[in-house]
Amino acid sequence: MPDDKSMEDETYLDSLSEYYDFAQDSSTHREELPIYKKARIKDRNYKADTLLARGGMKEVYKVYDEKMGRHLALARLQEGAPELLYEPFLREAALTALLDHPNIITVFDYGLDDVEGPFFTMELKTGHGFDQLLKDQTSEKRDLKRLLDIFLRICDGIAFAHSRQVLHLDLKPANIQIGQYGEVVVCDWGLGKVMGKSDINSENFDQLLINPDLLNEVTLSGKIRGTPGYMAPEQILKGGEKSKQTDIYALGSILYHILMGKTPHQGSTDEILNKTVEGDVVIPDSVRLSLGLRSILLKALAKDIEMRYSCVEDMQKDIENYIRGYSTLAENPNIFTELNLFYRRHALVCQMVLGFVFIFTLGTSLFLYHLEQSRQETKEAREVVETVTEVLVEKKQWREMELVARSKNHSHYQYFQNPKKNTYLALEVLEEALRIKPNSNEAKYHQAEMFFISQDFPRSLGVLQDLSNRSTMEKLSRRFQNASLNKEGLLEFSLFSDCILQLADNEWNYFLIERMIAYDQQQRRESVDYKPLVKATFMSQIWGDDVNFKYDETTKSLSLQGQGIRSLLSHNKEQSGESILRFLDIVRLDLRGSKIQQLDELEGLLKLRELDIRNTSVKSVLPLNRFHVLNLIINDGQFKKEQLDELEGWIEVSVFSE
Amino acid sequence: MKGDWQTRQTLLQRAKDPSDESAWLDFVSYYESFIRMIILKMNISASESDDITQDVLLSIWKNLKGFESDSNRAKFRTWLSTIVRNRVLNHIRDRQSHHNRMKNVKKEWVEEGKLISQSELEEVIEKDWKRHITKLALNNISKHFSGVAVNVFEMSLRGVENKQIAAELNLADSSVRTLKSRVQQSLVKEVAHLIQELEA
Repeated sequence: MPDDKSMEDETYLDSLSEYYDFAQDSSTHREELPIYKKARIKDRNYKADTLLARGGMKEVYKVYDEKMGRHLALARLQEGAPELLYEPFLREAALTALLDHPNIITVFDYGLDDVEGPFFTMELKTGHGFDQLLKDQTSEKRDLKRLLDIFLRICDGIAFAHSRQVLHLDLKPANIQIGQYGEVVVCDWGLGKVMGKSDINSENFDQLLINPDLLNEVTLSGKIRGTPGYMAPEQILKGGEKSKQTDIYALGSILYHILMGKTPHQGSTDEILNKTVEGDVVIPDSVRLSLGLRSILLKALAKDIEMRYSCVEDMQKDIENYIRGYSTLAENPNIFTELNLFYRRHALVCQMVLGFVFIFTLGTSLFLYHLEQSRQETKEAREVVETVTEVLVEKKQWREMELVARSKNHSHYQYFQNPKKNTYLALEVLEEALRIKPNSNEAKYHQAEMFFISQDFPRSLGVLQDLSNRSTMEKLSRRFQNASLNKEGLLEFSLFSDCILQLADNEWNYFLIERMIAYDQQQRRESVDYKPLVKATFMSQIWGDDVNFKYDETTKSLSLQGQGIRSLLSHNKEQSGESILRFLDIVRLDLRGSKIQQLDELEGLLKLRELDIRNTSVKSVLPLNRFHVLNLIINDGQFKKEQLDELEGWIEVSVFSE
Repeated sequence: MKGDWQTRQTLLQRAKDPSDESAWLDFVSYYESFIRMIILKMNISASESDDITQDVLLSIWKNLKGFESDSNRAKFRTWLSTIVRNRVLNHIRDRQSHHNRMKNVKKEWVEEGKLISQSELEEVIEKDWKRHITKLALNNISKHFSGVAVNVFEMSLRGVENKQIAAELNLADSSVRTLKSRVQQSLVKEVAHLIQELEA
């Protein structure tokens, strides 16, 4: 169909290039072009739509960075700003540039332009302010988990800044941006300060701020830097020393806002300021708030600096503990609180343990071990499902797709780390996906596969019939649906072998077989011989007849010869990445005369000690340094001396002349 | 740093300054592949076209200073096609004199007389330049859009109807329209920007 394809491309390109004429016609509206926007900045004459925000004397524009080909936010002072402001303005950029952290806005560049004065550029975040989000979260449908999660990430950013000796001093929801993809970024470091450094300009700066509305949204009588409602008493009082605890107070106010839907103090600006200075925050008993959270708030918002948290991390830990149901540092927990919380966290386990004391008397502790293990697995699975469910709130179809993708983490990518556990987890996630979208064929198919791999044939048959699927898998499920399974829930080995050998007839079943053998090997207690299965599976991946596969059980030697052997891996896209040969305990591997090229493919052959690669196409022996081969056999002149010199000392090289 | 973010000159104008090496390199990055493609279309072999492309670029570099753009947009492309055609002609002549010296070499290249005419070449360049610029612009703006938006737009370019796009991508009809028009608007802006930068 090459003609159709190129025809299609022609239509595509023709329609696309029509936009050229379009653009030419519209280029009379030049103010819309990024380059003109810039030019207009120079002309001090720009269109309002390029302006993103204006606060005090600061303006933020959206600009296009040609060198990097991206849009940025550019901040500069408003026209006519006094030169005295240049330094403090640029300080915000310099300060922020110190802080390279995912939860802190990134500053790219700053400088001084002789016409416009100072400017700096930052990443342009599309999203909205945290204040907007808080406004949208009415008390009826408040997603506390999400808000607390955002709050913890704000804490991450501030903890990092504190570790770099930088204080923010103007934390409030409006200064926190929530990106389109959930990123949390702390912005507006305009009032920030480096701890322990007395700013040369800070005197001037404070003076300047007596002018209302200067750099940030400080609209007060002047002596104040910060935002009423969020600022600490020491920011209001004259000569108050600012410290980490000042930011912690603001974090406390934000947390208060999250939990109570308003800031700690209400009233006119002056009233708020007075209340802040006067004293501690009171949370009425009528408010329904758990003791844990109540104590965190009171500790963060203590009037007395010493009474507040000593660092952001402590506060963070308390919130995390609250979320997980532990007591918080702020609660001053006694033994009863602890026991109570312990019981609440582990109610099920506590009850079970009591119940099982009885079983203990019967003398077996083995059950408990298994119980604990399965509880762990259930818990992990539940956590996976919970996070998945929480993250993907909005669109059902995306949720289902995400869940199926998530299930593949278990059924595909991490499968071989622990086949049983991942089978279980994949099935849990798929069940959730099917709950959301009961007719998802993809989820059903994966589910059938996982049932089949775990040798639950009646269920795999059920799903496959539902899909009207007529694959080998369906035939085999039908055949084994009534077969008796052993204690481990596995087919009798001769039947399992039959099953694999039939699947191996089709080269595309490779990944299915690989997972089935891994599962079987992990579960089966009796010792069995996987050799015929491995051989059949391996051979299914080889094109051509010139192959000789000989495995000697007593010496654990495998001889793989013939031009047909080009790789130890499968050519299937889906596979573990390790050779199927790893299910044999190969000690000696003879690849003479094969077309093997990459020794990386020996990954997973843990017992391999002797390797013969004479007359192969192997280019580099270096991968061997990662494995435990002790004896390497090569031809004279097959590798350069420098190549062999790079081999680790434990590898003995035997050279044969042809 | 001074005024770095607010230059008013277009790339083409800056490229005229022989000391502004980065502008020239940018210029080359926009034009090189385009020029090579045009030369290949003139039935020149791939190995020869590399040489001629370099030759053309060198010639542009030498003559750019003398080129004055005005409101007539097509002028730069006319100018470009003259240079390309002349360099290709020169190349063919060189080759022929070489060939005359070594009689036994087989002739399998374009004869001078069969070379595309100036006006035809201009037409080809005009058409391909539009494609080149719009492709480039689409590529540039794609970064700012979700894959779905670009997908919608590209499907519509291939003539797929909105309804079908909506069905295939599992979107609402209205969002297909919104996504499409967002990409369209942004594309027009970006194309206009590139035209401004590269042709004025």
